[in-house]
Amino acid sequence: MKPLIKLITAAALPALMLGCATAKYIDHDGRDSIVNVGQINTQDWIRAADELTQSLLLSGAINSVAGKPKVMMIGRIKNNTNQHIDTDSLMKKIRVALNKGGRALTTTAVGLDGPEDESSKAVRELRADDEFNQATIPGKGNLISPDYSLSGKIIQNNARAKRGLLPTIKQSEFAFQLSMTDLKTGLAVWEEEKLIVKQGSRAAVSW
Amino acid sequence: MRCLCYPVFVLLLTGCASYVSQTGAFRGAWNSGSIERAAQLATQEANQRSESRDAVVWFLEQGAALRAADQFAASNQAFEQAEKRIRFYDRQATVRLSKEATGLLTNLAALPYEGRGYDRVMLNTYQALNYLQLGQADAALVELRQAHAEQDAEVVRNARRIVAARKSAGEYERAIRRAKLDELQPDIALDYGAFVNPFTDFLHALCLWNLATDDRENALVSLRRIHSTLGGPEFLASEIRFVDRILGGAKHPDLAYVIFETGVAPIRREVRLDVPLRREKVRYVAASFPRLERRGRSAPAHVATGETRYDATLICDMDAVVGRDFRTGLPAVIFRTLAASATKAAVAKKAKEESGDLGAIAGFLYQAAGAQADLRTWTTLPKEFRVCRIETPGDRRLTLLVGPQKSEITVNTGRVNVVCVKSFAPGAPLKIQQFRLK
Repeated sequence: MKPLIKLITAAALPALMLGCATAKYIDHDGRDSIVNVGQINTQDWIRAADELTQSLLLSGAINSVAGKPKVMMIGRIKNNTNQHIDTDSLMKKIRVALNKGGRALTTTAVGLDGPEDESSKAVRELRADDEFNQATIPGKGNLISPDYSLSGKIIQNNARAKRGLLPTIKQSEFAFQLSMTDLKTGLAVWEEEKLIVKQGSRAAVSW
Repeated sequence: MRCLCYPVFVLLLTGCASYVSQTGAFRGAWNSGSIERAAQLATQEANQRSESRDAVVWFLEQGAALRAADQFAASNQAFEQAEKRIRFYDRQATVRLSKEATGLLTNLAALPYEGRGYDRVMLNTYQALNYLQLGQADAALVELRQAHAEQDAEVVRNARRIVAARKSAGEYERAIRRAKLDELQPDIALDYGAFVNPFTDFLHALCLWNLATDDRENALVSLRRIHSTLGGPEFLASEIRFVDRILGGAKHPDLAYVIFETGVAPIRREVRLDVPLRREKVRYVAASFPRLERRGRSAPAHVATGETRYDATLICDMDAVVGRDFRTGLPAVIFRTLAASATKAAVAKKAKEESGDLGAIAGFLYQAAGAQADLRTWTTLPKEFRVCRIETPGDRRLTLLVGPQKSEITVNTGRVNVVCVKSFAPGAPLKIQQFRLK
């Protein structure tokens, strides 16, 4: 009997220990994702980007001519929230959707603070370098100037309310505002705002 | 015999010099501006105590001293050692019941120094400055992001400390709650809110708009936060307008940011108080508590170019940062100190009852050995951070003034340079370092 008990214990112990593990994979936009009231969570970026992209595509503001996608540059995305955020979380998703749909391509060679990717410039600086086969270096006049620029702002508004004996309710509202400007005319050809409002309460540890 | 053995063991455990006396020679060298000597002493102590409960605080002192001595890589190594130990203690946080038990049987100074909230933020801030000095911008940004995260994490850690302290108080909880110990409260002239270090935020903002590629807008978030925390000084309002224009594509002239680190942060002194608990087992206890003691006075700082003189704005009063951290942690310190004193008094009473005079002597020794407040604190932190932004003059020469002290410097080439000025005691020479940001 004893060897049997030992065997069962040996088999059951690792299983019990594995059962204690807490890390798991979840759907990034599913119900299991963590929701913080005062922060923009992954699912918020996804929702905002999806809805803004749909609005842009449906507006017809960037119709490709003869199957040739339009070229877009990323302008300034102002962060008017009270937290550090990476606005690329929003812009990248929109860029990817437009790129995949064949409606617009984003230039990385032009940006307000200089190019997003310095490589286009760096490769042209090889023109005077004899070590490189000059026929493989891009000639002058190949870079494409953008047709549109995409700029915007993310705004945060906070509010809190106390209802009777219940814990204080906190509310955060995040507004994602985007504009697309036709660089030839300077006119905003598309504008949209997406609101995400979150509410919650948290008990504080105190004396 | 048994009651004698225990106090002897406890004496061994607690019979160490307080941190104030441990650091006497080191602080003397530092305060007089003998940086090389201070770096040497700190390195010696840090090496000796690298496996002790004081390792973290000594690595922090060593990091600061080596930074002042221009040994930036070595300074970062010391800070990394401190960081590694702090992470080790953090990982252990949930399973250390033995720690609370040790605290109850001896004193809080017998527990490992795990790094206070502001230590962790300043550790990352100094590492960032060292990396900037070494020309490693990406590494500096990583450190500043960590400092930012540390400020948020400290709020959670403090909540945990309160819960742990309550548990350790056990049967004395209600009695301790009634104890009034107002005289331990630090006098805080400025309150920056929970664990906010405005200088770290300012440095982060400066690095974001100058060095970052994709999150430069966050510089304005940090600047707005400091602006509101500090009550809206004109320098920061102007900095926000200025950075906003630059992020919108405007050009700017060559700039020099001068950071003044002046004076020394407060230290902790011991104060012994009799606290009535009015419990059957223990009527009252005599316990030692830490109290903050400010050092020196605030010194105004200026930058002069030719005939023009610019005032440096106070960005961070470290007395306030340390005071706020002290005040937040004080309830937990009081709880644990009184709980420990009450436990020891109860043990001593029992020893006397069981073993008569011999037990009374043993009990007295036990209580005396354990009555030591935790006075450990990072002593090389400055009293104040002041900042001044000026357009770099044509000859690139700046005159730097801190109180009566004066020094001159030629700013390196570059569009944005940072000059760090460190002052020690009045009369000691200013320590000047500079690096190019852009």
